[in-house]
Amino acid sequence: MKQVVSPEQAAFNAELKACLDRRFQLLSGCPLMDSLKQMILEYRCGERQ
Amino acid sequence: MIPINLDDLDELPALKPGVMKILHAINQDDVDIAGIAKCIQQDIGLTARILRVANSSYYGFSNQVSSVKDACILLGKHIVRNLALSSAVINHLTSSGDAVLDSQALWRHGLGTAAVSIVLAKQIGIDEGSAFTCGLLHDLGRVVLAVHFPEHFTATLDYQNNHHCLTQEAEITVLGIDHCTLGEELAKKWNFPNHICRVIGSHHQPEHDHQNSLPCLIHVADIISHGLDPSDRGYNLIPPVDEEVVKQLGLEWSQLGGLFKEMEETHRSLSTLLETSGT
Repeated sequence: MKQVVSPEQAAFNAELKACLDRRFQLLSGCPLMDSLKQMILEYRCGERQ
Repeated sequence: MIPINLDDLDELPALKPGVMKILHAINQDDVDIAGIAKCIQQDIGLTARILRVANSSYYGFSNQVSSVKDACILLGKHIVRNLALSSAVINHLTSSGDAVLDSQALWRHGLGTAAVSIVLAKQIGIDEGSAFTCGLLHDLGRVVLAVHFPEHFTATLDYQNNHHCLTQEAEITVLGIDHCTLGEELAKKWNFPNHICRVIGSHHQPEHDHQNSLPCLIHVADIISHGLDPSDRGYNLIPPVDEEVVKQLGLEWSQLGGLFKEMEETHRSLSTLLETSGT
């Protein structure tokens, strides 16, 4: 079942993703760094919920 | 370009003689705990910090520790050395210099890296005390720039913002030297143990040395700490990880996310233990 995300949570997730995309942009395409970025995103979004 | 020469470091104040004496005494093969305790007692700040650490829930000793000698025996010489060194450097660099521009943020990153280093060290079986000290001090060169060369430091930040590049690239272009070389030279002048000097100098490009994994550990911990820093709103680029280093450490990269909570909790504990106020 798909989890319902509040508008506030969705805005937080989008802002965080944009922030991490900027900080990791030089390393885009490096599998280890892409994976680290994804783990941080999931951790922070989960923590906020 | 506003170059910094390594000779400029000679003008910086030296660490307190008492601290150098403690480090020298602890590095001897035949350690005299009573003598070390005497040296520590002459430094009120360090005495308070050692007792606070020995009585903290982090170490969980059952009885209250009230003497420096007992604290040294319970904590052991490596922890005392790490505390003496980190305490001395924090006090020294927060009480001197013309500006504190960004130095708090740099210390926060140092503590964050120390916390990540401790958690990773546990995972792969490296001495946690050394990991802590090296993590805390790895960016010594940046802290020295911020505190003692604020104009140079600001110029590198401006260059970095304008060119959207990594810190090292900005430093080499603007100063002709990067924080790794600067920090390593200062650490040598201050007679830090060799393994710490090496980590400070090589944490962005560690050698793949199977005999000494500390530089590799700090390389990875630095990157994770940058990524996890919740106060960074996205303008500092994350430095690249060396894949060979990850292989050498034998880290399960995909499992790192499961360690983030422990890393942040350790960071909070360390912040309490090492806070500079009241010492």
